[in-house]
Amino acid sequence: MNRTERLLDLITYLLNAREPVSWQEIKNHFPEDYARGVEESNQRKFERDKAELISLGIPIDYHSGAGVKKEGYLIEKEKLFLPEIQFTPQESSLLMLSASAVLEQEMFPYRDQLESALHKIISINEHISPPPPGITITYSGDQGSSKRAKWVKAIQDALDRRKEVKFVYHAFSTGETTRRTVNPYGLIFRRGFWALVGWDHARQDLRSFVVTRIRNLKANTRRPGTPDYEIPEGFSVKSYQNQQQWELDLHDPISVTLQISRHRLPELLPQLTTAKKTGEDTFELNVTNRSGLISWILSQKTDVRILDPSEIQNELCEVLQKMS
Amino acid sequence: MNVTERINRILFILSYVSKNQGVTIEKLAEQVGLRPKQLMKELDFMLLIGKPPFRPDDYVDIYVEDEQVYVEFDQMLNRPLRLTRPEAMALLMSLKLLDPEVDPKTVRSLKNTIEKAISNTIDPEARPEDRIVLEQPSRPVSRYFSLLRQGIDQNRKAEIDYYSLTRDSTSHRVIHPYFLTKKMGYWYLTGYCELRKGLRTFKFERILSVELYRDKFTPPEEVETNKYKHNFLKSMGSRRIEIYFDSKVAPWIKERWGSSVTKAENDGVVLNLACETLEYPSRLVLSFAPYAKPLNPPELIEKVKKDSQDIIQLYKSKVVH
Repeated sequence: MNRTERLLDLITYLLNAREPVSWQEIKNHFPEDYARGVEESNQRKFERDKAELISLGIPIDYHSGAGVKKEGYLIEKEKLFLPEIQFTPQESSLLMLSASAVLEQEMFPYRDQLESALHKIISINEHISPPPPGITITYSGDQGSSKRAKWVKAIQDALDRRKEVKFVYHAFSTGETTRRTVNPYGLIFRRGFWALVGWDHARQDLRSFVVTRIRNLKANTRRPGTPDYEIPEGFSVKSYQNQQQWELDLHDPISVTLQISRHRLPELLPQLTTAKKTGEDTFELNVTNRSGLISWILSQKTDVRILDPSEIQNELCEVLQKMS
Repeated sequence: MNVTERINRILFILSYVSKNQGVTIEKLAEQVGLRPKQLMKELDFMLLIGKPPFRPDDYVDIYVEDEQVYVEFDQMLNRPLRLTRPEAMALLMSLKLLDPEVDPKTVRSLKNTIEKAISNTIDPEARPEDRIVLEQPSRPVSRYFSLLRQGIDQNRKAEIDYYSLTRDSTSHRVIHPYFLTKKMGYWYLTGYCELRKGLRTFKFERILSVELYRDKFTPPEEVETNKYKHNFLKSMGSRRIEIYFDSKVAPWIKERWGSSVTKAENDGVVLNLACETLEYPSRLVLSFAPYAKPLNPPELIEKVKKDSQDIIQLYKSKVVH
């Protein structure tokens, strides 16, 4: 019997059983699969099959035989199947709007999972409304290539299974290319690029890595079913999403006060979420990458002005004078 | 296709046919993403699925009659499985694309429904939305979103104040709002602009105020807006720009502009762009100062010079030479 058939038979068996099914009964009914040769290897085969089913989201419960129930395995119907979910036209329309933006993008992590989730939902919903006509969402950029799409997916898979990854990284800020070993903690889509956030073994610290600067990524293939690490409680990748150029950790922090033109505030405010507001249009920033800050200020021309300290003002003027 | 995907596919077929008895081979094949011939093969395979003691009525019975598919015995496999964590995460993550602008109440109820449909076999404690993030934090301009949606749905004109970065100036305009687009994390409004007498696109962050009129406009031909949607943000203008970047910053330029970059002396690169005005290229040069140099057109060289003088002017009294 091939594996797909055996697994489907197992599901059908445990789902239709009126009471828990013992290991002996399973062996009796699947003699070709679980009752040939050494008992220990039969048991291991069954354990592997069970793990595969669990990864599909199929809950196989083991009853120890205490109480009224017999000892053995059972699948509870309510835990197995998708509950009756009926979306309102408004809900399904919005779901289709956001999902189609993701499905369009080959590179998106969880694209395949999204497709199978939609399949499940569509199969039990009588009517799914199309996206609202007045809104479109697109994520396509020209940064996508199939090789990088592969890496984003590989990182996502390692993240799901908590497996360590090794890769070669070209750090633009130092110009150095080094080998890294990282425990992936999260993935973010930032300014048009995917970035991996994780624990860097050599640096003994959290680091983020732009996926386009990664080469030869390999996830640990040893013990695929066992996680290599745990993500510390309280870690959230969200704080990395809005990290600004001047927040890259390159030197000791300096405090810089800026004044921003009123008409630019709506656009620039979201970039200043970690800054301290000291007046209507003035902000105090904690800067750990001064050249990143200067680059950002220059791109805003006269709309962002350094009030303090004068050493950063001088540095900015020197940069401009060097250019001419 | 691996075992997991195939099992999911088979369960989908069973639940779909149970719900839609007599569905045509063609329609089912399309739903499953198979060619009709492949689907027939899969249906044959499904006849092997059954439960002990494997008597004739212990097997799945799915059959085709007059090109239509029916299930006689489904062996209780008539519903899709609960969502796995990754599947639910994929749904929740895609919903993040709407946050927080589009209909937060509906999105919240969608999220609740999805959470309830997750299987608890794997990783029951994981908070999926903490692991993969693709959104920007909420922006103050989000409050205009529902107002502009209303304008689009009811064909009502809107009056906006808009800061145009490409012109570096603020203007007051009457717009016929046509549609909203989110691209690379930013929302845009597209509509007919009475001031410029043509279709224009406005970045949300630069809209400084919105007021909806009672006045209605005639909605546009769909063909016209579709054509515009297709080319959205693609054509930047016709003015040809050339900027040199030295080796220190070349990797960033290559990463972002790839195909518009050519190699140049001393391991530097030259970026070729087409822009409507010189505003954006000048800001780009300034942000890479002192490692960028405008090459063409001559007006750009002049503009960068003037813009940097304006900036220096801000600090002039304080600069120590």
